[in-house]
Amino acid sequence: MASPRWWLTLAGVASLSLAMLGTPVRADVVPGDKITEQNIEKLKDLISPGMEWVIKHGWPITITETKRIEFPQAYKEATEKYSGQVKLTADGLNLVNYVAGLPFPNVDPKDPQVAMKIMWNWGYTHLTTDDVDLRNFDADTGAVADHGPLTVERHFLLDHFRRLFWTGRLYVDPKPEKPNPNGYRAQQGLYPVLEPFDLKGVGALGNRYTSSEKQDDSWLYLPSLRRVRRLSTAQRSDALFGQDTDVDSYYGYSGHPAWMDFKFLGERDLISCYHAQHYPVKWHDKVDWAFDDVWEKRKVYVIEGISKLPQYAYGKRVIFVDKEAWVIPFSDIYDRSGELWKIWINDMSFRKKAFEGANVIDYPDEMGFIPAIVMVDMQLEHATKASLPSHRFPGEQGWYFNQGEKAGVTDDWFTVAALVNAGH
Amino acid sequence: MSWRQVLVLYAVLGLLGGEYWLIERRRVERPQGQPARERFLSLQPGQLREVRLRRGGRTVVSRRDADGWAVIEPAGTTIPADLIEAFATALTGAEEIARVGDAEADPQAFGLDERAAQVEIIAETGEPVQVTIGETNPTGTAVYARRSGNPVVVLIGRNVRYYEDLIFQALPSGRVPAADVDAPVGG
Repeated sequence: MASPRWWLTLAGVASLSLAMLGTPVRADVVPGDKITEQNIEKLKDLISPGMEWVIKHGWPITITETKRIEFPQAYKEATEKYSGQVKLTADGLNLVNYVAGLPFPNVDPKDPQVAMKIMWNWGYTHLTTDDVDLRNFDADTGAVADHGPLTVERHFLLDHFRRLFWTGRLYVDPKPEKPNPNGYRAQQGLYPVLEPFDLKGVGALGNRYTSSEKQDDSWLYLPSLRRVRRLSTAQRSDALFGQDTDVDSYYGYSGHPAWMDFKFLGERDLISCYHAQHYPVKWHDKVDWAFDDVWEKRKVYVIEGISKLPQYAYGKRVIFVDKEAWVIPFSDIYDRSGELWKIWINDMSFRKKAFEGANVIDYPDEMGFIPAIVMVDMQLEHATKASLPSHRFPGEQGWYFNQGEKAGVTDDWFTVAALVNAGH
Repeated sequence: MSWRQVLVLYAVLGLLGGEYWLIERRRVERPQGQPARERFLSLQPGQLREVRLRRGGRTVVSRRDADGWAVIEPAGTTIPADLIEAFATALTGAEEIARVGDAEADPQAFGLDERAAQVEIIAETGEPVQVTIGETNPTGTAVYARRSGNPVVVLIGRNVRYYEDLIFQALPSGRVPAADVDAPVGG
């Protein structure tokens, strides 16, 4: 005679199935999964509309296990030492008593200022605390084919992207703040452009202030016109050099935290590329505007940002901020009609050195190398991809963190005179 | 130049300054390439009192209160008030990107059948407005939608669908969570 246990098991399975029907089980992935357009349903709860678009157009996704991302030791100590004293003004637009580290390590989703605190944390993230020099990188821009390559319209080669932070410094003297009569938070330069020939010598420069009352100073140098053109804050959202990228989208969002109305839309799981295995970047063989690397599941905050500036090019940004690492894996951008317009995607690789080799800098902590970025314009089916560093320079480390003058990151470099001189 | 002419010039200058201050400074210029479009709904987000969302047999009802938005149904569910506000703002601010079908249009072709999300918006005054949100368009940048009292199928921004997705994803489910990485200070 059959055991009644068999019937009990069947009844149990049936009950569980019915319960699952009532409560939909969400799509999920496991390490080793390879996701394409055919099985994108497995990822549907772990991506944004922008990521869905690129995957449906051929971007390959390989899932790997989630790894922790540790703060650099000095940043961790500064966070523990100073975060308790940091306050946000009632309007959320300025930090008070900030010295160094993460301003708000304990974010409460019920806090009325939660969105601003998350964005201030992003603004003072550990990706760069003192300075960074990105050298010898290139970019291609052009139309993207569905499941096919980028038709290169313009190829760019750039010498330097540098950032110098004046506050929150942890490694290079003077620290934690440089003598700062101008009230700088940071200075940034992107110059000179070496290729294409008609843009040779072009460059951009900008100053960011700690006070939200002061807008950025931004300049663009055009050697063909022998003119330095001053840019408004809203023009930071304009595509630069004929690419799809704009300065405000660098890293996922590079505007001042005070320049947007931010809303906290919740927390969710999302895939992110934080431990890229390839350095320099490996572009996919067929869909060559997509970097071919591994993605891991992460927890993120979802933030909506709407610019306070009427001339701003975008209607809104949806920014994902990693809950542990305080970095942005990608961000979606909508036009003023709410139509999906662009996505910025970071290819990140937290590691102690760019690659194995003699004379390669070995950092004491894992640093946030970004071997590639891609920005796609979904409405025009157009993209810009950048190799950081370029494959044309074998042995180039690309990213140099906190090297100060050794890497040429000096106050003088961030002047309009230096920008113009480099363009000659 | 006589004093009278100087006074006239000052008066003209004052008028021009006033015109700039009161009108030009507040004028919102659309970026190039984006012509003005019709609004999908003639409601302002501040007028909304209740938003009822129904999709795939699940219903979320939110009501505006003193602190923003509170979820009434399912009871005990926490959804960020900002998310409901963002959804309401995106829907009421949506523009008609294109009119793609009339009363004869096949609802199934646009996902405006039983697969669609139904949104009921109750404002402070006036009749409730029903909106049906269908599938995304082939380019993946917008969604098909229809409103009560108007059979025209229009395309509105994909942003509305994404916020709708986020609301339903905020509901409890049987999903296996990602590795717990809640520790705030870098592990």
